[in-house]
Amino acid sequence: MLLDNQLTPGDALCAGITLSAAGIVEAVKNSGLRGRGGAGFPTGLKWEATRNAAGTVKHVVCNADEGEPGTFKDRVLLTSYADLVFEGMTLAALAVDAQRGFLYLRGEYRYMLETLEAVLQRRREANLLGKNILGQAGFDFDIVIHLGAGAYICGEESALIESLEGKRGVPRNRPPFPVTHGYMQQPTVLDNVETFCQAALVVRMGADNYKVIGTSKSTGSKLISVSGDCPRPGIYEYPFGVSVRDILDDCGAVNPHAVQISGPSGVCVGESEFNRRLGFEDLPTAGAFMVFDDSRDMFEVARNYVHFFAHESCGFCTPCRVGTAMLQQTMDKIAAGHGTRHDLVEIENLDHVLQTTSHCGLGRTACNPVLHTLKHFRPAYENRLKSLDFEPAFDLDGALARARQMTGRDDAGAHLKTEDA
Amino acid sequence: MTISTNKHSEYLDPILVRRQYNASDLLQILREAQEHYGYIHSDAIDYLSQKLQLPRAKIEGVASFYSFLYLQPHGEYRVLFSDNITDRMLGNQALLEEMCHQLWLQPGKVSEDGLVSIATTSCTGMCDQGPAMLVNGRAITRLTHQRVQEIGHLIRNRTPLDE
Repeated sequence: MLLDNQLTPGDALCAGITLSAAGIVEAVKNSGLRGRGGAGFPTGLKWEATRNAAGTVKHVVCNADEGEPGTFKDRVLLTSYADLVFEGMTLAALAVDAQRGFLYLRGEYRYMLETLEAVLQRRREANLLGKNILGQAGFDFDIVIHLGAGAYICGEESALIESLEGKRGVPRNRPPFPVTHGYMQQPTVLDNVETFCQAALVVRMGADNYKVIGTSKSTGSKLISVSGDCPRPGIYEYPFGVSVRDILDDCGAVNPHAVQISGPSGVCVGESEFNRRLGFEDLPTAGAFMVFDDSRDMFEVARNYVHFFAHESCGFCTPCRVGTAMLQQTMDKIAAGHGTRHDLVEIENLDHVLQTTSHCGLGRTACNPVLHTLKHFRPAYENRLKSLDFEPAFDLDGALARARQMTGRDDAGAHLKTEDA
Repeated sequence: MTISTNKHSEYLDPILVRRQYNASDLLQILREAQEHYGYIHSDAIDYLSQKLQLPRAKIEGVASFYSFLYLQPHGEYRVLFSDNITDRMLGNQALLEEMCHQLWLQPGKVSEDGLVSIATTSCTGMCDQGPAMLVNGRAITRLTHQRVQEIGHLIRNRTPLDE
């Protein structure tokens, strides 16, 4: 549907002009389209709220800060379907009467910049951007590209807006939401790359034709980024409601025993749950689908994700800044063979603190990789634990290593005596 | 190594004019400024602070927040291995160690001749074509021992990335 669309630049925009601004909002609402960035907020409601928001200066922002590990669908859309992305943004501008658009492109995709600028220039020359678009008096809209600089947190919408304004990417308090107080505190439509593509398809196909695809609460199709242990990784498009097993079969996975859905902040699904379905009813997803076969140690998978969160915590709120670091230390302690039962309990306590006190979603989801893998692959943890109930994280003898190095000593007298040594 | 303020105005002024001295474009200005030396020189921050009428602390605060903005030189070639679990499963750690060995440096540190640094970065969105790396922002995928060796040679010979 999206990947094999036959649209030429301007097709969806012409359909949108026929519908008029209010008609576009109505169509997107009726289609049941929900945000493709993971949260799944109804796109039509967002556009309607921005349209009704007070103020004459409004903005359209495309979130191309695709930072969730395992996701790469936006890279493919921006490489091969850039016109459709910009077309969706232009439709949003028409719908809410916005004058300026931003594409916030993650720093890792810097190499796409020149190509994307060329697409924008071509659209300006074809009167699909600029003044009086397609001869419609007063329909003025243009898009600029802003580059990120390697901060995962900027994928969070309010952090992204802060970053667009040239500041540190620290999430704002919400509400107020961007629909009324976005870029420069002005009403802003902010959607994911794929959402804009889907919105363009909705306008072109009509809401009724669109909503028959997928399920009742998750209409349309979803791009899935398949990676990991399978012979055919890549981008797949499915109607919502597809089962995990169907995707595993299609990508040719052999002996899969776990799939990480929607990246580290998503859900780890074990073999017993492969009949679960992708969609907002059961397994919501931003698109990542990482496959692990039965040779993989799921503890190490979780440890990798935990390191990721600790690295990417923005540092603004203490629970997340300290909590993700503590979680990382605990996982490293278990990996080094010093973990005990007590540490597993501590992880659950830490999760409670992070869930209840973190400023944004990063902290709230940081413990998920551990809790989910513990649920399905507890032996991977237990095999590493000591039989003791507790062992301090502080290694007394290890702390003397520097002194030993400086004095050039490594004899028995330079080591602390331990009871089992 | 001192660089006079004039030298900075030479490349910063065109950026500032294009960005209309807009403080809300600070991140974009810093990114573009960095493309000149590969890092943001301390004197350049003073110059920007004066021209954008922003406190120096604010500019440094923004620059230090983003992992792709550098306040210190990081070598002519900045090699970043994507470190998602999918890259790890395809052996990126062995490749990183091999490259560090080949170019005589430690991960995260700049080589003594200032030529190159090698580190890891979060997932670069190339998981279907891993293991992957970014060299000065350019994505290189499907790394193998042989390809890493070749990249090491190209860096040692200071081959420009465009070639």
